[in-house]
Amino acid sequence: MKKGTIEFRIGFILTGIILFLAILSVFYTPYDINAMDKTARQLAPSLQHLFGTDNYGRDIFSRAITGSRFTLLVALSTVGSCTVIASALGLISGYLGGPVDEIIMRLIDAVSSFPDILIALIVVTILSYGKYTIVIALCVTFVPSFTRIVRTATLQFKNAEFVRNLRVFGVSDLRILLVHIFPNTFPLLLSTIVIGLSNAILAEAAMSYLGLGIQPPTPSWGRMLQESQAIIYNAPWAAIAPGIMIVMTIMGLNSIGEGIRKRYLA
Amino acid sequence: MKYFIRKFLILILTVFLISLMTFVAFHVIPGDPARLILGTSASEEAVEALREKLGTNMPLTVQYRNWISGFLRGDFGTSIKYRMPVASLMHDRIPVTTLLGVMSLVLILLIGIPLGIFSARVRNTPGEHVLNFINILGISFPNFFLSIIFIWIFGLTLHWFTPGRYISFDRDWAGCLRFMFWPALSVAIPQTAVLVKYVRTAMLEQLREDYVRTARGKGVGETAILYVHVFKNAIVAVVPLIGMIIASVLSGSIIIEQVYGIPGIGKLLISSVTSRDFPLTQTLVVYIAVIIVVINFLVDIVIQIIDPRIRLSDRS
Amino acid sequence: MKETLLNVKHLTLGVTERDGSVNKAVDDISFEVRKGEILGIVGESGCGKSLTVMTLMGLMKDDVFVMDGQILFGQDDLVRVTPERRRQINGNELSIIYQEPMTSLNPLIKIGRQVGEPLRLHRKDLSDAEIDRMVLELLTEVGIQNPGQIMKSYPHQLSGGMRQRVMIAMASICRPRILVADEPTTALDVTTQAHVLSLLKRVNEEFGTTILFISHDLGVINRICDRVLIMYAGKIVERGRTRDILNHPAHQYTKGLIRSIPTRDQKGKDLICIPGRVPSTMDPREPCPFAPRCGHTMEVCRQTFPECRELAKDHIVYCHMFD
Repeated sequence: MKKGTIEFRIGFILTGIILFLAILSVFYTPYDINAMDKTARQLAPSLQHLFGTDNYGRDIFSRAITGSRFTLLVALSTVGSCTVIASALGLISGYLGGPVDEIIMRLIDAVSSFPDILIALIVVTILSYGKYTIVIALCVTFVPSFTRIVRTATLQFKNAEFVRNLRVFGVSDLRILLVHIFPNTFPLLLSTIVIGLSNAILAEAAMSYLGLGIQPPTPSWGRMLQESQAIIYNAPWAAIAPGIMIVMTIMGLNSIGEGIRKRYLA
Repeated sequence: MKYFIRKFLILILTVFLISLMTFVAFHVIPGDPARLILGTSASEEAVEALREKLGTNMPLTVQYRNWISGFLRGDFGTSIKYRMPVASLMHDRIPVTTLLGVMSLVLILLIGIPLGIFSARVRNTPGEHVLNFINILGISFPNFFLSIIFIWIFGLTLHWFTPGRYISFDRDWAGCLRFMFWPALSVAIPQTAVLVKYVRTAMLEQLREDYVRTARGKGVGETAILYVHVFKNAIVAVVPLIGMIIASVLSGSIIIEQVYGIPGIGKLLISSVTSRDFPLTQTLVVYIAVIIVVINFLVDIVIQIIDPRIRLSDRS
Repeated sequence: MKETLLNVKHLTLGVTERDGSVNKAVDDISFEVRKGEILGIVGESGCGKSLTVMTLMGLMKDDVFVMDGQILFGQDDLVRVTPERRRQINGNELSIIYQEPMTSLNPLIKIGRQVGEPLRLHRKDLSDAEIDRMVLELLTEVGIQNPGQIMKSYPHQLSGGMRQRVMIAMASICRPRILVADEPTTALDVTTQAHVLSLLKRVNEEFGTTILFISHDLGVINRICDRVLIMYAGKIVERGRTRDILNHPAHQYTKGLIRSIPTRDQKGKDLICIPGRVPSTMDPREPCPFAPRCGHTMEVCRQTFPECRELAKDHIVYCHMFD
């Protein structure tokens, strides 16, 4: 068996389940996610309500799988935009070097001297809540580490024999950068992206738990956990369902990340 | 000595950058804070009065100078929501967060280091896979979900502590510690998992070093190799990461204070963000960021002291 | 003839490659080490000389394993000793110094403690004070100027030559029967090299320690070794007294090695080297591994590995030219 196969298997199964549920929620949920039912409050899990109901009688399964969709969307758009920005910054910084590199890296250093959650809180404070606030907040948080990784990889290949040869043949800098160097950073970038996704999901859940992420009535895992806290004694399933879904997603993504690291980077 | 001076200058520069960036973020991007605070329905006079009070009608450079000189005098501005000096709001809350942070760190080190060594010891055995799994689980549990589970099981079901009822240290120190154990554990568990991974990796890396081969050549047994030869080197390799762990502990406690209702800096910060209390948020952000930078500076100095290689190469 | 201290019989070592296949890195070699001598093993990097001595010490990496053979040392077969017995032997009866004196000492433990550790492990009856006294004495003997201060120092404070002296002190403090020196001078500059060589010679003469000296440099071997084994691609191809080998080399590979030592009268001329390259363990191996590079390859060289031929007393070669 190749290295990392076990990690890949666990990772793809866990994320596969979550992804399937998220896609399912676009087409079908057993109940309307916002339909309240006074007669069905805090019901334990059963065949009618797989994960039970919350304090307002809303179906937790429907809300949890819809929540996974929004959480994943936030995580994907965060990491996607972050990858684009960071790849550009990292490639330019690493390849050009000199004062440009110095300026970019000092800025990156300054931003990353703030802990992630503080950056997110600052952005949320100054932008006032909107649909994209949380994405921007998390994106700003992740850009520094992503940029550093792309820059390091670029530096490593910039001085490689094959790149020096290309320069002798008169290949343009932009072509060297995009066609010859950038693809070489993929394995490292990919594992960074996967780990970044898991961090983004954790961060989004934390922000939503604090009431600063995805805004109601849109369901999200963090928000559901926060709402469940008041009824945890009578209806623990209200916390366990979204909680376990977060844990499964994080475990799945971390496993895939570990698998990539073991197979392609070790 | 030159090293300390250089590090100290970098520290001062970083603190300056932190204050500048925070200031810029709060003053340049959002437009008019007075308008934001009062909302669109407020009268122009009211907004103008608040501008006067906040000092936002002055040029930015003057505002920054006033803010910084206030900071240096211990005047951190006035909270809009609480209508109190920020300094006195912080005064009671700093010890609470410090206690939580210290307790978490102690738990992390107390559990993480022995477990890290143990997991290096059981390498290539079934025990390794069990530990790996527990470790992945630890990293994957968000600390606030863990807290909710703790509140449910240990608080509400077993009655080992009363959730939501914070006990102050001055009134009943034993009760306070008993209560704080749970939030501290919630902050600690994910970070412990991270530390176990670091210690394990460092131990395994050190085991591949030439000096381990030398020790085996002398007839040193496996246990002595781990504890006498490798451990010291592995710890020296892990110490630089302690700064990062402390930063994560502080970040974690911001959320955990919210979950357990602990009146610390983190809870104050979240309530200031929710109520758009700009002066308070701004001060707390700078305060926390500076604390973390200072801790990293101290960690750097500790490394100097414990690693003879750096200690002496600097002297010569 | 002197008594045999260590006897290697038909030793064959396998290396597991990344893809799971196994290569013979050392192929059926036999030799003996005689009491009181300095025996050299010469060969290019990758010829298996280091693997052989690491097996002797039980310090092989995880991917190396013994496929066949014995290493007889006193009552023990070193290939099959228990871990406990191995710990009793290592540092006490067998010890080793390495090519990299920089990394072979623990960076965070003081020199005095590291040098004294073998005594602490193998002479349980000695007190700490006695151990310290013996370390101090030995450090003086290996030519360290201010041993008291050095004992309290850390490895990085010492020069490369000093570290190698410390290593030698550490390896000889229990008066082992055999000291393995794995390219001990390769990483040192020429002057330091000479000092370390003469120190090893003294350890051999004054302590009566037998030395197994590994090098890729025949020039160094010539200065210190009584007898020498020439290894090529996992095989011993020639062995004998150093003087005989250098003056009357028999194997084409040995001749090549001797020709490639730069000497004064070749000054200004091109450096001579053996054509071709050392076969990698991955290459298909000819029965005589030197056949592809040898100028005198015959049909039989590609069919069987030559039998051992004794050319003179104690001078043995494996080559079909002497059939």
